Amino acid sequence: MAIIMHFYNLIIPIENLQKCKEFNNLEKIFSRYNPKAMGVIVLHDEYLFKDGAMNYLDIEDEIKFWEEQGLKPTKIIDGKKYWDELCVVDAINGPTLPCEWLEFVCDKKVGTYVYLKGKPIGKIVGRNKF
Amino acid sequence: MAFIGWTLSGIFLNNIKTAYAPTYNSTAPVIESRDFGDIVPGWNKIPKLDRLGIGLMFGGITNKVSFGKKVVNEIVNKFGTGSSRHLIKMYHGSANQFSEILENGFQKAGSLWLTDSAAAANAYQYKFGLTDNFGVKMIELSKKLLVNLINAGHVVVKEVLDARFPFAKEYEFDDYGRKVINSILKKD
Repeated sequence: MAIIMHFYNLIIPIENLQKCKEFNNLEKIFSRYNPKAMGVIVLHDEYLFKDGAMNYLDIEDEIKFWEEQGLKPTKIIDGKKYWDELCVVDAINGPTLPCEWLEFVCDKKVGTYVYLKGKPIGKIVGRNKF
Repeated sequence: MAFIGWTLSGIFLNNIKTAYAPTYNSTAPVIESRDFGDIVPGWNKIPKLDRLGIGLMFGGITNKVSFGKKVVNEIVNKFGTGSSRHLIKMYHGSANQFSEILENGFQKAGSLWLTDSAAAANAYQYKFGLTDNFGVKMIELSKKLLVNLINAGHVVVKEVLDARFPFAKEYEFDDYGRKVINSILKKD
């Protein structure tokens, strides 16, 4: 499965969420949000969880939150910075740093979406046809 | 592939950035705008009208016209070409940092997202319900400024294919575009 992208997106593999101190399952995580944000801003498929914001300051707040929960946002490989246990994706340009586990697709009919590398794309979550 | 995509759209749209490009993977992509004349030797020496005629001969290429260009056409069709005074309302919703935006504008380097859908901005404002620091900022841009920013490649437009926000568009302003927005905010 895959998830549609809007504005800035924070993507976390659900597997990594299990490492978090407090918010370590989807039920607890969803309790952080206004129910009206569910299915609009907050989306998930079988493998990935997605939050979003319209500016990078809001996204930085979210990164700090997940860092405090125990996730490592970035790592260095050969002197180059990569996203590690989470990833920030710009809805037009893709991941803001390289990310080894995420595939970003730009499709003229569908828009932009992401999916976990190595998994089938399948249904695209958050895409609501007119 | 991306290079070819940009090349084709570049026939009509010198330096216009598009929201849609062929599929690529997560290796930090960079959207480039390329002038067709940079790629085809002598292209820039052909008179503009002749270039258009050559472009029209490639029927399929017309389908590659960028969404950005379509938006420019929409704006011109809707508001006309005469007046540059017409203001277009755009919105930015923040769940956590609204007072910072009101006080200092969008100071974080990099791109900035605006939407022409108040409903979409509202959704981002209320993402966590009522927090200490949420809000929606409306920004009014002149039609001429927006068209110029799109044409110069400082704004990329993304269509929202979501029934909950019908006809909404997302506008990504690059760092220069962000500074332009900040200058508008300062005047407010």
